Amino acid sequence: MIYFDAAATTLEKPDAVRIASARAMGSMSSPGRGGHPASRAAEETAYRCRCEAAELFGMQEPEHVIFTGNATHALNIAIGTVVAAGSRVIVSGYEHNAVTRPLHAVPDLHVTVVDTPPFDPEGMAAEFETAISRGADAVICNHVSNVFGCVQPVEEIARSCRRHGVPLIVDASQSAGVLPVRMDEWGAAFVAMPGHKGLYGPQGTGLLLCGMSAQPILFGGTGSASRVQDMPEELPDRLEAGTHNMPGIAGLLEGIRFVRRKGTETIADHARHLTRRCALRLRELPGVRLFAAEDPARQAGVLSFTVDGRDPEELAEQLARRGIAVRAGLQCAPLAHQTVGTLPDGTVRVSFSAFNTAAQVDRFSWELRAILREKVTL
Amino acid sequence: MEYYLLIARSVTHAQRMMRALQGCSIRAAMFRAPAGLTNRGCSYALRVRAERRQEAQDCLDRAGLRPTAVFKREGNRYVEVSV
Repeated sequence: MIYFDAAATTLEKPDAVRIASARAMGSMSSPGRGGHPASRAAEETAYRCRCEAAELFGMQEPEHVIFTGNATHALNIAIGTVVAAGSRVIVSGYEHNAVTRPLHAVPDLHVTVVDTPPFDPEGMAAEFETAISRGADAVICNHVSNVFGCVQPVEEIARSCRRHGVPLIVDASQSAGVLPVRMDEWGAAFVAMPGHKGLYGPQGTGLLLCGMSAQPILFGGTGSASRVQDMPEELPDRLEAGTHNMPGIAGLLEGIRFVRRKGTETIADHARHLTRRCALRLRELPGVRLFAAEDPARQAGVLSFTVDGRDPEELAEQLARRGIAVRAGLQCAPLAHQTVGTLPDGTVRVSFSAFNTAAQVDRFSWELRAILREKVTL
Repeated sequence: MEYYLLIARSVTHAQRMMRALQGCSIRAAMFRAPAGLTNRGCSYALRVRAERRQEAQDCLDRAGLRPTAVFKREGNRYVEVSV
């Protein structure tokens, strides 16, 4: 199978990830739960994972790296901390349901959507600055759109937030491990990310980088201050109730090490190379509407397209029958499709990992060409 | 052997203190603190030799990793000392 769905989950992982996860299953219990070797091994692994993540994301404090089940879990903590009933929140027009649904659950919100066109970071930064200067309680923006791959001007938005004293939540689901994420430099309140995409960890892992204290959404045992019934004040314990996913964390540690060894620049260059090649091939096909940046620096390894008269889901199904895995439809981000005008059908999305090759892109375009030659039968 | 226990806020805090002491060439051992030592329940502690206690505290102060409490082992009991 040619797997072009890295924006959902990177399927191919470094061997060390699989080995570490399997080993952890039989040798690690839970950090902070005992003085025996199984607990100590878990403590050491969890700590190393926090330290590697802190290094990768430009943070001083490894205890401000929180393990979560996924990016959605991390975003729910972040949003639950800075957004309350009646808050004024500014979001980009490219947010995932992992942001919009938690916001929808809060009553009486005043939400401003910055819905500039894709691949226009200057326009988006200016719109954010204008909106923030009018007053806001929180700003939420993804670093890279999971649908269109556009790189959002997070540095500029962070600067506006710092200038106006507004907490910023960054959804780095598509950028962690692919683009530089500089937590301390941005001064963000929170950065949320999955472990199972660009960090090459197992599913069921995620990270929340904290620039401030947070409200827990899960209450329970932490292995610390057990006689006190309030959750501990200090991170990471405040946000990590219950037994840790040690096979996941051990795998994530190896995934982060893989990314650091390879370098995010190298990974980003590779993804951009594949994206450009794919865009070139798709432009040759009849009826294809492509969402690609003129300047490659404005797009990560995510590319969406539609084909006149063809349903995206059907195209994806036909590609799957030919051994190519892509994602179609709304990709859990109806707001992004509303912004770009691709509702109600959505797009076909291809997305690349460090393990994809140019030959795979060529094969994909060849197969798509063959599909488009076939008669449409409903 | 006379020694002191430096109590940490969490296992992660204890690990950071441990790394900081290693950076100052001070040997320490990390372990679960005796349950009755603090009134907060489970916690972690670092054990350092008495003659290096002040040096250890200075090292942790410089790293911004002050322990929540310090106890001195006296015979069969622990006595809290000022941090």
